[in-house]
Amino acid sequence: MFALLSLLTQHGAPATNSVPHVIGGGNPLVVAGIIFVITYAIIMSEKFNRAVVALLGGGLMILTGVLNQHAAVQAIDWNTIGLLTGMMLIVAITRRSGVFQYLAIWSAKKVQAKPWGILVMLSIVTAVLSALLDNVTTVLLIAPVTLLITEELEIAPYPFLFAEILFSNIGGAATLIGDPPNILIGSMVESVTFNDFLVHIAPIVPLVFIATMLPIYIIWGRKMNASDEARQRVLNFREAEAIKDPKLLIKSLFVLTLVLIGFVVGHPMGIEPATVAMTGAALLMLLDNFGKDIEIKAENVHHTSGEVEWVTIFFFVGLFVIIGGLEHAGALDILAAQVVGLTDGIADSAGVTKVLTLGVLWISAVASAIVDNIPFVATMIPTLKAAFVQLAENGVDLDAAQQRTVWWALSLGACFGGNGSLIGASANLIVAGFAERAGHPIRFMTFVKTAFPLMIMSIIIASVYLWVRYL
Amino acid sequence: MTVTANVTVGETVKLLAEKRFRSIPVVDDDGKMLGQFGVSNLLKLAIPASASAKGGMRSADFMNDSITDLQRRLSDDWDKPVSDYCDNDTQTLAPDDSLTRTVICIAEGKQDNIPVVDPDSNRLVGIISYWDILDHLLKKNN
Repeated sequence: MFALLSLLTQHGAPATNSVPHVIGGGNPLVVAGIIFVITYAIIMSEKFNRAVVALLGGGLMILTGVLNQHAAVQAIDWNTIGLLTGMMLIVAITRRSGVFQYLAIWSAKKVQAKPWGILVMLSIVTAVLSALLDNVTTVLLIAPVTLLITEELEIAPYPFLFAEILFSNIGGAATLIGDPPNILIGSMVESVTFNDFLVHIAPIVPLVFIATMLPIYIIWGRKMNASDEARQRVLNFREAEAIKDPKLLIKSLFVLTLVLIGFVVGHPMGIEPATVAMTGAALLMLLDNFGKDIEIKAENVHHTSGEVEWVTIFFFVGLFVIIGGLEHAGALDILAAQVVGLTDGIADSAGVTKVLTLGVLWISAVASAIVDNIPFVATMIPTLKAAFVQLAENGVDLDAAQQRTVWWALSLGACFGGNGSLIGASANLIVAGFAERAGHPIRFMTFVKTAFPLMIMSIIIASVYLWVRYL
Repeated sequence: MTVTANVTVGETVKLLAEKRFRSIPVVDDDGKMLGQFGVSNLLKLAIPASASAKGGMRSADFMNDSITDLQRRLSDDWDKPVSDYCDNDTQTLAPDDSLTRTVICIAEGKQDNIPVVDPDSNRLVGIISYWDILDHLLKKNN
C-alpha cells in the first residue's frame, strides 16, 4: 500500500516545483516563514496540543497557496507514517499478552530483588525494548511496574525512573525503529537502511550505557538498601501470572521476529520499513482474531486500531506539510546556506565532513534538550540534504559515506540530546506524568542537574566515536 | 452526617463501617464542601499507587498479597487527615436543581448519595441518597 502511495505521490501528482502562488500576491518565502515560526513557537510553548497546532500550520500552508494540495500530499513521508502506525498496532496487541510486566518482574527476581541489581536489570530491559519498540511505549509499560517494585521494596523510585528515562533514549538510538529521530532519518534519507543503524550506531550504545550507569551508581546505587522482608515481597511475585494470554504471546513474538527479519532483509529487495511494519500489523491482527466470532473480530480490530496514538500520527502529518511548504518556498535553501556557511574556507570534503559532523552533533544535542527533537530533526533532514547539494555545487562533493556520517551525528545528537531535560523527549514527559499521578513528582530542575551533565558526557563519547571511526 | 478535614483516615473508616455508609462528605470548619471519602478511596490506599494511578498497571495478578499486605499499606495513611485523600471532583447538586436532574445523577450510579451544596457559599446543605428517592417513589405508589 505504501509503495503504491509512494508511486502515486511521485508520479501521479502534478509537478510540484512550480512557483507557489500565495493568495493576495504575498511573498511565499515570507508567508511560509511566518507560518513555520508561529507554529513551532506554539508547539514549543506546549500551550496547545502539538498535533492540532501542526495540522493547523499544515492547513495554512495549503490555504495560503504556499503549497497546493498535491504537493502537500507529496510532502508527507508515508514511510514514517506507515512505520509508526504499524509498530503501534503490533505493540497494542503484544502488550495485552502481559509479556512486558513478565520481563520486568523476571529481571527483578533474577537479581534476588536487590535494589541496585534491579535498577541495572530494568535499565537493560528498558534500553533493549526501546531499541525494538517506540520509547514512549516502552516507558508506558515499564514505569508502572518499576514503581510497584520500589513501593514494595519501600525505597525511593526516583533513581529508577531517572535511569529508565535516560536509557530509553540511549537504547532507542540503537536502531532505525527505536526513536522518532531515527525513524525520520531512516525513512527520509534513502541511503540509510535498518542495517546501517545496527552497524554504525548500535555499537556506541553499550559504551554510553556503561558510562551513564557509573555516575548513577555513585550518586544513588551504592547507598541503595532494602530490608530482607521487603525483598521477599518482590521475590514472592509470580511472574508467570503476568502472562495473560500465552497463545497471543506466541503469535506476537512470531510476528515481531518476522518484522525484525523484514527490516534487516527488506531494503535490498526494495521493501521499506513501513511495508514491513504494516504487513506485520495486519498479520498479527489476523492471527489474533483467527477462529473468533465475526462480531468479536470486528470489535477487536476496531479496538486495536483505536490504540494507535493518532495524535502522534497527525502531528507528523502536519509537520511534514509545514516543512514541505518551507521547502517549496525556498526557505530550507536559505537555512542550508547557513549550514554551508559553517564550512567557509574549507575546500576538501574530509574537512567539511569533520566540521559538519561535530557541528550537527552538538547543535542537535543542545537543541533537542531544549525543544522537542521530532520537529527539529524533521526540519534538519531536508536542510542537510539541500546543504549537500549546495556544497557539491561549490565543488565540495561529500561522498555517500561522508554524508552518512553527518546523518549519524544528527541521530546521536537528537536521541542522546533528548536526555538533557525533562521536556527533551516524549518518553521523559510520559514518565514524569505518571510519577506525578502516583504521588512521586519529578522536579524539572532536579532532573536537569543530573541529566544534563550526563547528556553532555554521552555527546562527548559520541564525538570521540565519530571522530575515531569516521573522521 | 459529615466529617471535618482534620479527622483522620482511620476515624473516618471506622465511621463508614459503623454506619454502613459507602461514602461520607468531607467539609472544612465552616461547613464548606471539600469532597467525599468513601470505601473506594480507602481501597485505593490499600493497593500500590502504581496500580491505582491513572495509566498504571491494568492488572497485578502476579502479586501475592495477603490481608496483612493490604493492612501494611493502609497503615501508612491511617493517621493522616482524610481531606488529603477525599475525591474533590464529587458530583454535587444545588438546592434548586430539578428532581429529574437529581434522579439522572443517581441513576448514573457513580455515587449512591449526592451532596447538595449552596452554589454561592459552597456550604453543604444536605445529602440526597437513593433511599430518599426510593422512599418517595414508594409513598406515591402506596
